[in-house]
Amino acid sequence: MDDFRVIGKSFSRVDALDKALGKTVYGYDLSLPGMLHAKVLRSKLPHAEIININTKEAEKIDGVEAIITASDLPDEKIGLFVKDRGVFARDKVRFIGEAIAAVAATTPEIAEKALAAIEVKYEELPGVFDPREAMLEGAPRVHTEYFDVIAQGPREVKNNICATRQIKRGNIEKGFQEADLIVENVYPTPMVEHCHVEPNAALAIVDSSGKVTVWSNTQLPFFIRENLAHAFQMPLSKIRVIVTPIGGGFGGKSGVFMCEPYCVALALKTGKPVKMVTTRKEEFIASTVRHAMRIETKTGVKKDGTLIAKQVRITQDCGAYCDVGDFVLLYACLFSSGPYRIPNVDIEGVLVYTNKQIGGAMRAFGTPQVAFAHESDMDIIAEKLGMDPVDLRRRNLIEEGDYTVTGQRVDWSGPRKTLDAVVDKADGKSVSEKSYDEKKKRGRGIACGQYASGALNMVDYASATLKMNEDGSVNVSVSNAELGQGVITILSQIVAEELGLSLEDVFISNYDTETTPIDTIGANASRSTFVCGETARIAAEKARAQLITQAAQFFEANKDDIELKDRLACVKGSPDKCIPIADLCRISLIVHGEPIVSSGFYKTQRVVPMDPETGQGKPVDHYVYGTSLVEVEVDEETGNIKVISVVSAHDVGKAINPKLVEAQFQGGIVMGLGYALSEEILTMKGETLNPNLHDYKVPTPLDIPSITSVILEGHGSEGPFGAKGVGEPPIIPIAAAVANAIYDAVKVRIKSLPITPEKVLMALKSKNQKGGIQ
Amino acid sequence: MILPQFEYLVPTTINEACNLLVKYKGSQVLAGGTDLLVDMKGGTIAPSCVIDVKKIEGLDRIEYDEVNGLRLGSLVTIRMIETSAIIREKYPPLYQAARVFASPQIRNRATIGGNICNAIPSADMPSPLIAMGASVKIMGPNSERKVGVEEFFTGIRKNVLAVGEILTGIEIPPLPKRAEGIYIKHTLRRAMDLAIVGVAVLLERENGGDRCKDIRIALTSVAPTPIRARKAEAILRGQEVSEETIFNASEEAGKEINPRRSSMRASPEYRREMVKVLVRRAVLGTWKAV
Repeated sequence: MDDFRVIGKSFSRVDALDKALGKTVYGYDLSLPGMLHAKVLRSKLPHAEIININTKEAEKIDGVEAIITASDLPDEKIGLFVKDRGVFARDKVRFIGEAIAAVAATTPEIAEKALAAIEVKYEELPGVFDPREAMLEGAPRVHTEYFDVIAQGPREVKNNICATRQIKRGNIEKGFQEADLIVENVYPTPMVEHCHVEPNAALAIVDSSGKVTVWSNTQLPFFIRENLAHAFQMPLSKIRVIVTPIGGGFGGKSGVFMCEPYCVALALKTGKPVKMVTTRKEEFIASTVRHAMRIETKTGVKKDGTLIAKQVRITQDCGAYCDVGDFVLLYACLFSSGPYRIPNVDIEGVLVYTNKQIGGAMRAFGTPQVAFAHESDMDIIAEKLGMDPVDLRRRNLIEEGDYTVTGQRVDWSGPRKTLDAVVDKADGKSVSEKSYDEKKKRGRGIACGQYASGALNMVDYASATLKMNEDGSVNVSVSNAELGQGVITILSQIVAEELGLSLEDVFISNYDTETTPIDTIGANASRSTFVCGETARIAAEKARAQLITQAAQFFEANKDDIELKDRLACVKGSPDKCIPIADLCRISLIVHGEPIVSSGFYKTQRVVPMDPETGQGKPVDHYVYGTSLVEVEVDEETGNIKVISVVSAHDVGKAINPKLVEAQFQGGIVMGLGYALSEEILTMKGETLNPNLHDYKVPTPLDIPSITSVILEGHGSEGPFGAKGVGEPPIIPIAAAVANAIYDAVKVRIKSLPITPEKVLMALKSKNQKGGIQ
Repeated sequence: MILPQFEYLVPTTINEACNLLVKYKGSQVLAGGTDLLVDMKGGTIAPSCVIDVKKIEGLDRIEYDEVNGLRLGSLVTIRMIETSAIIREKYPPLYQAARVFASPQIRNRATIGGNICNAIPSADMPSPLIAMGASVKIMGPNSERKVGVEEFFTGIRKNVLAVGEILTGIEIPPLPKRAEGIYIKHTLRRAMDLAIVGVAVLLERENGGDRCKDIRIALTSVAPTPIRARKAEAILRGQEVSEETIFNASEEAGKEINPRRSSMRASPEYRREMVKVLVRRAVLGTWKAV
């Protein structure tokens, strides 16, 4: 049945050669004549009143062209879903790294010098750095109210609680009463940083009519446009955002506070082009991070291993401003009980403001955190029941016809299929390496995960426009940004397949708010292939219909008999009746006055928003499932952990480009290993101790194990050719699988991330002391 | 994160460099720049003058003969050490330390002289040099002296160099015939990482016997400077080597360290444990190999 010519083939990325040769012009590389360089002065205190800002000395420095603070801008708050933050701190600062002033100067050096010459008088306030302390009566208040975009009104903030979320199903008390075993655990997870190679960057110009154009390496251009319009009280039509090629994002370019508003404010003030690029330190302290969470679980299970009740309490460290924290909390709560059939569920989550850097979007929103908890729980339970961890999972994994915690019917047994696929691939024994006097033990751990392709709990839509050219090539403008995931290759394959063209005939335009139709949430939420891909396919399908109409007319044939392939339109079964698609494009335009242009729009069909009290509803348009198996070798004397191999299986619907799907597996797995074993932003009283890439430890190529990817097709989506998103899911099970593998190897259970050699060794020592074994 | 302004001078002889160092107080010597430029960008130091010694000829040589041993110019890069056949054959601990030093890009730039002079507790080069009895050659405007690598360090980022003095070379004597050496670096990542603990051992076996004739144990990243574990050495020196004596020596080494409590990389307790484990492994490994 699979007679695709372009779909399902592992083409190299269309942008690969330029990137390999250094020819791609990233946001970081942009330059215009007469351009000024912007730098932002950031708060040195975690919580303080601003008494006075003195810029006089800084203004005198030769080469400084403008300095702006909150007093130069309208008193407006901006933000993604919750508007709780000004472009600059106005009366008080709420975290170290918050913007206080911005300088435009002829060189970055001068701008930096000017920052040092700005004097800020603070009156320090007591800060709060632990979400649980922040909720106590009498704790310092980070905010008193914010503007809720969805509710369109101000909301009071009590006890620093930014948002709450709950999901209730069945009867939790009854569930625990019926349980033969109840297991309770607490799992703290750290803040981590995206560490994309290219920092955030933007360049803004203002024309004589006051119209602003911003080039930015953003994942969210329409949010940038909307927030800039709001911040500067300008109409949307006066702001154009053009997305540049992006050197990695992972959610770290999904904010609106890094560069754009400062470039625009300074460009408006000076009338000159203004560029800003963040430093690595700013990426750590002033940009968003993955939220730290504390996840408390209580699981009730029958003797035979049947899960009967699950209670989860999530405390999520928001940081100083909301950003997408409420959305992350929603993901965390929804996925916190795992891909299991559990009749009685009680999940509550709370998002709490603190005087720290801000949690935001990061690959698989909130889900790696909760997967670490629910999958560690599963292995702990399996051991207590004397069951094999795989058998325990098989008994409980959600199957077709079951209902999720929100009462959404499951439409296929994806979780078990991914588990079976991994177990099949990973046979063979695990053997420890033994050399003289080194005590190394091997172990294996498995973990399952679930996620959503397409934005959660909301209708997710995207749009596209398409134009065919007189040489038969096609330009498509789709609302999605290339950030290294390969989306322009995927979109090209989809369009080429639909139109009978080759990959090289398709050109995906830069994402531009002026020429690309509106979209929801950009390059996020594992939606690019699914939602944006379907949008592009619909646009191509419409162009295809126009080509077929033209061809049928030309050959005086029935439309159903026309096929498009190899750049030709042919009458089926008549090899002599073929016309180049390029000719059809010209005939259509010149003879019939009908240029072949089309548009596409797709919105997700199935979402029914969750009830705020019970959480019941259909928040997920397409569930995606995955399982990973990790093998580790643990040195019992040093606690060192070497990851030997990872096998992952994910349910992708249809792999448009298998090589790119594998690349997403590999990227997610490596990021997951960093999360499991080495990455953690360390702070003390709101100050980041390791804001650089030598003290903050991302895995290096030498830390990467052997990786086997099992691409599970077969359960298609409503998306293009059945494809579902796979950008985020591969990271989800990794930390838990590592923790479970370490337990299998040396029988110590580490319940906090990252699992460092020191934690393992100390746990081994305390186990040996308790057990009396030496 | 931008380099501050400074005067940049490029002497072509050692004497000229020494005189410039005297003339420009508060200047810094630039070799590979992998520490200096990072510190200057980070704002931790702001020298008014930078003296680039890379144009001085003859400081990037590796020379070896059986009588005098190995002589390294201070501008020899870590990559040159890593790829030198003679070092790999005759001085394995130095090769091993070069192999695990930062990343290949850094190894191409960083020099052995810079790694020593910068005097940070986690530097990889000093411990193997101390274990192998190396000394450094120091030249001043009108002087020349030789100092044991062990005596070179006086504290974190502090060394014995006086104003106007430059470290110009490193000398390692020929290793005894029946000796074996090792450098073990314990890190969280497998590359581009600073040592949590580094252990260098050079062990000489008594001719035809089961005794350890001599041993040096040098430790990285466990005190303000690289240190010798002298009490541990004393337990083994001249003694019959058994699992028990090795165990006793490694326990003793754990007591000899003085790690920082405020380190992000590891607690003092963990460092102490690692010293014990790695000293035991290093001694046992060299003993079995010799």
